[in-house]
Amino acid sequence: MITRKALPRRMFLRGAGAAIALPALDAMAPALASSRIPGKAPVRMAFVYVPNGIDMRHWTPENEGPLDKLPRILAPLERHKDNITVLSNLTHNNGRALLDGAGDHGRCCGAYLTGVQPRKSVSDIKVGVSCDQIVAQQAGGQTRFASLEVGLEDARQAGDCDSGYSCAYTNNLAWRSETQPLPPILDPRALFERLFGKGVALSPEARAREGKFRRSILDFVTEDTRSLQANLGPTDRRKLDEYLTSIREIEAQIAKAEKDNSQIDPGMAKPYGVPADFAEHFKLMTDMITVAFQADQTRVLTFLVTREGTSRAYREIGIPDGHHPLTHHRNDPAMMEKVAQINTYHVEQFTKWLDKLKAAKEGDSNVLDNSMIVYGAGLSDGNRHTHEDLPTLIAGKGGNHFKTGRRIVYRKETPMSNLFLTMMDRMGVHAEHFGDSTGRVEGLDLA
Amino acid sequence: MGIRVSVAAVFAAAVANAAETGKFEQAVQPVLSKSCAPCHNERMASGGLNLKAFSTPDSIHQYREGWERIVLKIRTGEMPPPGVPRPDPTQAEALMSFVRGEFERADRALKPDPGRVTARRLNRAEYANTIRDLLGVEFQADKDFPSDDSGHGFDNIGDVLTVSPVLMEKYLNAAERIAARAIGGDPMPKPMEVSFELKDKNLRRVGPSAVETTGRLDWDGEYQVIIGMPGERGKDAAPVTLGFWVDGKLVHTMSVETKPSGLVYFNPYSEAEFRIRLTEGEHTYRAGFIGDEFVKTLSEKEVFNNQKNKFLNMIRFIGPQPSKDGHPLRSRVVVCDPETGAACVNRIVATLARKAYRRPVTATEVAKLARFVDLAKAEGLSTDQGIQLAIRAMLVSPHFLFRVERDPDPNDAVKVHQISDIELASRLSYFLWSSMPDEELLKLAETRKLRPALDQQVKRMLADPKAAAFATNFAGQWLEVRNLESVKPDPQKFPDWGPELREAMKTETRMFFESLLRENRPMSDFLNAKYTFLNERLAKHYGIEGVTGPEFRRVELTDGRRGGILTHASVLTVTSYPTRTSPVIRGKYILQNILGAPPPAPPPDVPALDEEAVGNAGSMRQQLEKHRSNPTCASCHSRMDVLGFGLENYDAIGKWRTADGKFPIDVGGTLPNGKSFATPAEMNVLLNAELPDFARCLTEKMLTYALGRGLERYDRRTVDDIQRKLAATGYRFETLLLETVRSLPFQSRRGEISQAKEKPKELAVR
Amino acid sequence: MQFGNAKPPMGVVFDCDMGESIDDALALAVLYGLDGKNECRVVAVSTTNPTLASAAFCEVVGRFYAGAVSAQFAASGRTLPVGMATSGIPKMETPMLTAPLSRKGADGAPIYPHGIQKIVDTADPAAVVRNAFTAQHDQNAAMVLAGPAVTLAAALALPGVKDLIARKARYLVAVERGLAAHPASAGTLFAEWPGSIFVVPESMGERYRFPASAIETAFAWSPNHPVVDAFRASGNKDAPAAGVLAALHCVRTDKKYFGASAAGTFDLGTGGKLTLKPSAEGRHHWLEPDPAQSEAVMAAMVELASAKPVVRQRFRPRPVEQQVAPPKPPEAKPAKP
Repeated sequence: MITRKALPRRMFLRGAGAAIALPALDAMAPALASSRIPGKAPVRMAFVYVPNGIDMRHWTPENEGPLDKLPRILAPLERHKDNITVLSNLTHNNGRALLDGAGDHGRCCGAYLTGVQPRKSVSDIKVGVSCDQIVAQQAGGQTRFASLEVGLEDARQAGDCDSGYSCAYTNNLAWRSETQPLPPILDPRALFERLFGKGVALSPEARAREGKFRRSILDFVTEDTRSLQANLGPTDRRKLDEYLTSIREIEAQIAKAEKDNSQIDPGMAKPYGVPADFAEHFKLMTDMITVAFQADQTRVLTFLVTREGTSRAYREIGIPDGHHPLTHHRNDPAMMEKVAQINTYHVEQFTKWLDKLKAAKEGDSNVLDNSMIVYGAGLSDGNRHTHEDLPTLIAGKGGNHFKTGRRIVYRKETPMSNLFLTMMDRMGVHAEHFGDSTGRVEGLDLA
Repeated sequence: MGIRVSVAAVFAAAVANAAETGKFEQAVQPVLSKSCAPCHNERMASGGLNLKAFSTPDSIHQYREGWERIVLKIRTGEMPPPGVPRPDPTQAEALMSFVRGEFERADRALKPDPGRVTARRLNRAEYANTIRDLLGVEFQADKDFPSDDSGHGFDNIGDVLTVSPVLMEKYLNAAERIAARAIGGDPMPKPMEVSFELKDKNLRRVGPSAVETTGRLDWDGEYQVIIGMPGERGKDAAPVTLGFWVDGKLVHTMSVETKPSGLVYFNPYSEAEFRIRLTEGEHTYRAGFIGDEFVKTLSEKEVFNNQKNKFLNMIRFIGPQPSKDGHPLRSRVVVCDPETGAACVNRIVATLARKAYRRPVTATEVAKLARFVDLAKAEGLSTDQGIQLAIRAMLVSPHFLFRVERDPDPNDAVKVHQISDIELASRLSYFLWSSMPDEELLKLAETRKLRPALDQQVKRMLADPKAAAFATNFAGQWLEVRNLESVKPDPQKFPDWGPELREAMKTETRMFFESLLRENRPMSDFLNAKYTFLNERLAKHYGIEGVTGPEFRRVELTDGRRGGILTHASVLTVTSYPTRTSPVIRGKYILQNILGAPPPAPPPDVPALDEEAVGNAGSMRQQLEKHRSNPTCASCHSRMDVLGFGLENYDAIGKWRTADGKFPIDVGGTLPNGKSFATPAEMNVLLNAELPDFARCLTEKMLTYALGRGLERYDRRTVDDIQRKLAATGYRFETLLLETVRSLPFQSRRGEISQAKEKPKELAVR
Repeated sequence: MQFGNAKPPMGVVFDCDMGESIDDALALAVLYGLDGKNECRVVAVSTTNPTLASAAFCEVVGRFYAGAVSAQFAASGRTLPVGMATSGIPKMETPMLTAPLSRKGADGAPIYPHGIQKIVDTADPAAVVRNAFTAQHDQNAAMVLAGPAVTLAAALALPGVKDLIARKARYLVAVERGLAAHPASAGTLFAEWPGSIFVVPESMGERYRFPASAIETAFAWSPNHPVVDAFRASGNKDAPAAGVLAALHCVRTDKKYFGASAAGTFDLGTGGKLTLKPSAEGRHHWLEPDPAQSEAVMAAMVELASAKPVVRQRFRPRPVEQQVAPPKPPEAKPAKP
């Protein structure tokens, strides 16, 4: 981070990029509630994904029903005990090898939000539309951003990502089409600029003009693309279609931004660079997401904490070894201990975010209560690559809808897709089935 | 890597009938049934292989990849394993030559097919370079754009490069900033002050008299740079030279007094100030005294005592401020005075569009772009800002962002056609420069003189400094050296590790690769050249005397410890764990990236071997031997691990060592084919005997990179041709490049059938 | 890349109403026996008898062969989750279930431990059946339905499952008695099942009875055997073996143990009586006894049901000397991928 201090007036005025002094977050809340239907607080859906499985011995609470003593990894959530629901036995059959052999890391991440088995290929990628995107595409219209994708780990990788699975499967959680993943934003600055603009306060006129310019530029390229596409082969045409759909998305954003011609004021200085410290990076991103939720800039979020199969070391907590190698511990206690520490460390950061969401008042409720945030992994035992009983919890009441503070155990082989299908209902998107769903999950709601 | 048999079945039938069943029975079946079938039968299907499917001549063509693996295993001696009767050499040879013969027959029977490349979006590197060559603007795409997905080991594969809304948004924002920076038409923001100070922990010390920081400035422009220097030296202390570096490049020097100023009596402090042009983005800034002999005379605790010494504690920027001699880049684009009217504006737009679209542009295209200038003016902006708007439009146009090649008959998968000279020009420039064609290339293409001048152009392009991009992007990904960005060796175990060393490692490998290309060295050099490129930092790391200073130079290697790419610290580091080496990863690396024989993924229910998991009792070698007592693992690891152990003399960041902790290093090993070695050097010699394999591997990788697509079965023919030519010319790098460029798939393309192909699911055998 | 192009043994999905008759237990034992001989893989087990005892017994039998028997087991080191329907047919907590489950050793610990205490220890049966098929090669799976079609009907109702089964399954072998127990689901099955169906008539079950004598002889190798305990608890007399026949026919079609009626379409009369309406394009058949094969059938029943668990060699055995003599080069056509 850089200190940017304004100089005495007589020298010259403070300039671009400077953080304008801002009112505190909650004080701003009403001002922020731009596109929200008055009275009715929106429900947000978010997915927080951690890689390489979780040590289930320290994750699963002993009993079904009301949460009593939380196991080691969940312990940080103690103060949010009443805001969470722990779900057991949810399974992703399509994360399993089925007939495709090795590559559980690539497969489980690709299947996680899509419920579809990814095609084993490094170039010819294909999976399914992820549930967050189904919601974004059908209900995202109300907010400036149909969805947000964020992450903490730059996925710049050369070579195969997992025994024949394209890196696209492990670099991304959200899939807007069977073949097009949505890469997460990793740099806090980039996220800031996406949400709140370049940090330069533009005059309303200037912003209106900029909107006009962008629209005419987009019209121009759309026209160009159409004529270019005219006589291309199917594959090339598909490529340019992706490009066109993205353009339409931006046009929609501009339109929405113009509807309420006001710039969101995040109440924080524009961040610079990517913090080396994991906790700080996590905090920066979630701070901004909190504002985005509160300002109702988006209601759908996917958060790829780190990449499936990552070898990131956690020196912040004195663990120099790579995460993935550690998870193949072959029951060596020392290594299992380190894995448990990493799992717990992740949950600690997540908990701090919940604190913020809880503190963000919304009428007589708060953003956390009006959200349903799935925290989980695509593998349960990272050592043996198992895809049943995936570690899963939901934070938030989804708008005073879920009965929280409990552990629900489902029957074995209950598809994870059943949960996502149920959550989609909550977002007002009613699908007949999703992925490999066999129905909806029961027992979540107050009833 | 990469040759997929998606259409195997199609010609299985065709060629099979021709296959002489008789020959098969006498040449192949004896070995199969005697040495292989006892384990690879229906009942046991060891290693997931059941030979039942491989028992007919047809199978050679139908299950080509399987057969290639069988031949490989027999050739390398990995199979049959110890304990199983080995076929006598002549038998084995008979089998291999028969099968190889069948392969060639099949390939010859194929109709030449150039395949087709999917429209390629510029990746981050290509975008940044193109912007640089187009407008002279340094744009940090790697910091501003999401990372590109890679396929087949490279991030320039048309099929996987997509455009997400986030990226599109970034293109729009980038275009705006880049256009503004290129023309400077927008009012400059009010200057502001950015300070980096030791006390704020955003400035770090590098040595007694140098400080460094990594920060970001939001605008191009002139900045007032102020260096804070506390302390003072003796009455008669000589002035020192203060240097200022941006990203390791020395950009300013000045002399500063170090003797007491006589103005301040306690906490002596002085500032050095100068004005310099800096560019937007995140950079590393360093200030320090050059050749400061004085500090060497001081004791530990005197160094930062402000009564005894002068040192540095702050770097401050004040800016941006307009430079007296106008905007430095504007003239590149604004080739005439736009205020003189439409004619000039059109000329400006036309000139730029031709470069940006890398092809001649039509009058209508120019008119459309010029309209943006009017639009801006109508909104009350200046002409320059209007030009900026036009540039923004160009920079997000598909003609700029994509490399699209036109097919006369897009839906005819059979008819082959040569790509146009214009398309060829872009293929060349993005292949060798990761950037747009320059004027000479484009001119030749427009006048259809490129193909005749092809060789001469390739040589010219290689000589151009821009060819460094080829080393960085091709070699960087093929050799996985790019991963140096993401590896994080444990600072406790490897205190030497740091940005400086990392950069040095990257540079060595890049320069080594470049020299092989530029000097057209034989490929064998690649594996055991007796020279490399070092600067002081890296030489120190290698324990090589007599190399001083930060700049790299060619160094002859005499101590027999180093030589060839496999002894580069860069390679050795990316093939290690944060805390220690991994013979398995290194062995796999050699098989995959050097010998082109990547080991198969382990069977589904056997988790990949993971030494992290093995305890810490006994040396790594003992531990792995234990693991290899499992025959299934042994079948692959017997070769992999032996090669990996050959590099155990180099620790996890490539430093030479003779012991691993308390365990002495034992490098020697014997490959399954019976050849053994005792030192890394000897291993390189053994590998050198596999030169044809290496050459083929490199050819496949280079073709993949050059084409921007994975190789298909029909590309085998091209690879074989290049192979032959290489062998004929003593495996010269230049030959490889020229042949790649001359090859059918690089020179031509075809349409495709209008429905997406589903690939048949592989059979995973338990 | 996976290497080799030969198909693994056929995957068999087994659904029954374990507890209703000893036949189901014997059928399951026979399937595991065939699995041990690499003639098939048991890839799913589920029961429509909605009592934990029923699921628990299935798991006990599974564990008896576990790890040793099926690659799926060995891979995960766990037995497959047992699917159990929670409704459809009345629950039957019969002695053949309770007896073995309640057996305790000298130390008071159960002789056959299992992990099924609560309903959530069992699996959604429709999911179990569906997921099992997803992991099979095309046309390399089949199903044995020893009980009512409750679960199968539910599975067929899931999106895409009809196509999945059409792609993966060769045929279904069911038993008349089970189908008749729940006419509604049987109706759905006949309408929805995309492939051929063979049904073992009740009469045939009566004709081939599993000999009680074998229990004392063929099974003698094992001091404890859940199927033996179940057999004794269920009357310990020769038992009608329709389910066993279904299992035999399913895996050993090539042995031609039985004949098949002309094609037709099954239909359940109001009385729950199964009738086959002959029709050229029908894909349903009665299984018919073949007197010439009776002895072979009886022998196979006993041999397979009492087969010892096989510790499958997942890796090439070390000492190569112990290898069986190399088989003569196989001449069969390569399996098409």
